[in-house]
Amino acid sequence: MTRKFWVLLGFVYVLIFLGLVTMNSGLVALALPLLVYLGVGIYYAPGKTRFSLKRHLSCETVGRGGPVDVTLEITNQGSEIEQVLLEDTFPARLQLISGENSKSALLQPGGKVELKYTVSGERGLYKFEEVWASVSHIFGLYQTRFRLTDPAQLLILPESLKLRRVNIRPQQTRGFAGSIPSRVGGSGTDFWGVREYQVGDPLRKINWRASARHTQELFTNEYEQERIADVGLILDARQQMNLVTPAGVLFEYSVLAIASLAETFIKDGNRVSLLTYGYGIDRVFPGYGKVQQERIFRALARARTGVHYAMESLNYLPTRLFSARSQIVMISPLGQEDLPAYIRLRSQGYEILLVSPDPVDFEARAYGMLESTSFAVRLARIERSLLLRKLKHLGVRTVDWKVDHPLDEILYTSLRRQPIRNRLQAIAI
Amino acid sequence: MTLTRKALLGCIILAPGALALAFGLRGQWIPACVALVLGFLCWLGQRRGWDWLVYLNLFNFLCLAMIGALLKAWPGLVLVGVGATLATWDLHDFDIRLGLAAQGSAKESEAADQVAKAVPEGVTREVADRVAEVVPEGIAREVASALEQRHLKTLLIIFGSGLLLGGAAWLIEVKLNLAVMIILALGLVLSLRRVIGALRREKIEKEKSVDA
Repeated sequence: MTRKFWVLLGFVYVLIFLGLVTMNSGLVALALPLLVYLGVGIYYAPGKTRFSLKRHLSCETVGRGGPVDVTLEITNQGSEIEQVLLEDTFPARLQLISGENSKSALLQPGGKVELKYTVSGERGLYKFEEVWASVSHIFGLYQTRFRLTDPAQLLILPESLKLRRVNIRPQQTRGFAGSIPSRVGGSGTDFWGVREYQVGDPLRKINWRASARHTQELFTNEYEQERIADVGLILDARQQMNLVTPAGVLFEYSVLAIASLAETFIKDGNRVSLLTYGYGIDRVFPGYGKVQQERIFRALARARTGVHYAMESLNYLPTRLFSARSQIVMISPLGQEDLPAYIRLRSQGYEILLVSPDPVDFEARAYGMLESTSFAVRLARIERSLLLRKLKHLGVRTVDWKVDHPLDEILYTSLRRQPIRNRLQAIAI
Repeated sequence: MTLTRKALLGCIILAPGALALAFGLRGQWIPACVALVLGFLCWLGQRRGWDWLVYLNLFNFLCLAMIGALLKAWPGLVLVGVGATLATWDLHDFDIRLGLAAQGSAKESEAADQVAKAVPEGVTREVADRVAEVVPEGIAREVASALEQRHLKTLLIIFGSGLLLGGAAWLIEVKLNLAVMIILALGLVLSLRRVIGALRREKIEKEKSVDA
């Protein structure tokens, strides 16, 4: 019943009450037109209102910013409705580009209303659930508001960047030919060593210079085999590590980096898996090819930061999920307390590549460099560079990524083979 | 101007007019003037779109009718005034609801119109125009118009029957003794209690639905 009903009923009571008190039949008579009005309203009170709802999304998976058309078809399966107001509640993080998500209409039995609108949004998993229908009946004395559901999901995949080949060198590779040096002699392109000639070796591989030094023996050049590798991607989704500033969310850069790296590694034919560590453990099992890329992108679309008391530090990282002595690529803003975890991973024989979006620089740029904070920023930078240096000493390859710089360039410059002189200098420092 | 608007304007004139006449015929000029002033205010509110004034007008005119009943103003005209006030109040609300619904339907028909205007291959322009005329806008207008007529008809019946019943109640005098009066008062109190209970239940249900 609406406010209109109660107001009218109130007036009826007041009139009858005053009529009884003053013993004036005129006052009671005045209440009669109102009573007739109410009576007719009650007589035509709504029966069962039944609707059927069909929701259709133009696509269920879309890239970031891609428009998605949402169409709702509501059919009246009950009696005639004078007015129905339909409101579709779409997730708040989506943006309405065109169309309207609410509509008022007259509906005859079997009549249909169509709501059409277009939305777009950032990476994420979005759930469309309920449509609210407010039905008004004769004289507007009754209004029924109820919920219609036809759930649908929209997955907005993360963005990825085209990267040049990322040089990784795990201790163990897989049996199939690929692009990663396998630390095993055989057929390849890079020189690996010299061994004694064996029957069947092609003549062009004989090292004539070494053979000339011996009278009775021939020697053959060996080349480093290039194979594919197991690459385990770890996304650090711990809330305390990922900053949220007015300028943006650092975690989104981590997702961008990991999506780009996943695409690059898969393109090179490697077996790639993903582990999201933070609010829990979300895992994509190792696999090859485009289907695996799709799986990883879907998992990344769902990824969010979160708190889990058992996962506040990286010490509980389940290493059993990765092949022994394989390559681990970690995307993490890096904290002081993470160092033991890296030590453990290294001691277990994993090759680690750490891509670390710089939280200090990110925060300093977001809030601006103030005189009062400049000293603190400087200290934080020193602390971070010391931590990165410690990791380098452990044998972890680190990429310090200031997120306003292009990732491809940073990866290329950080991971290219340095001249021996520079490497020695770096170690000495 | 739609039928509802015309009827609304008629009721806005009729309600204060009838009340003013009811007072005027008894020589009570002050309440008659008040009725006219309130009528002007009602018309102004309607013109300016002051929706909040609608409830105030209902209250004002009902109070004026009560004064009329107490001052023994012309009974038939007072009843006409009350009926017209009620109709004004209802038609204002109906007009808003109809406008909202028509907006939604018009948007739909515009879109359908655009689709219909794009003449598909193998169909002549004439045929397409005829289809566009008949199919989208026609249905929405027909439905709205039928609804409007039905609503006005129902309101007219209520108005008439309300007047008849009210007039009869005014004219027929029944002597009630104290016991009947007490029973009636008790009935009133009990029904009021039920109403309050229903109101409470509704409030709780609303809160629950909001929580959900």
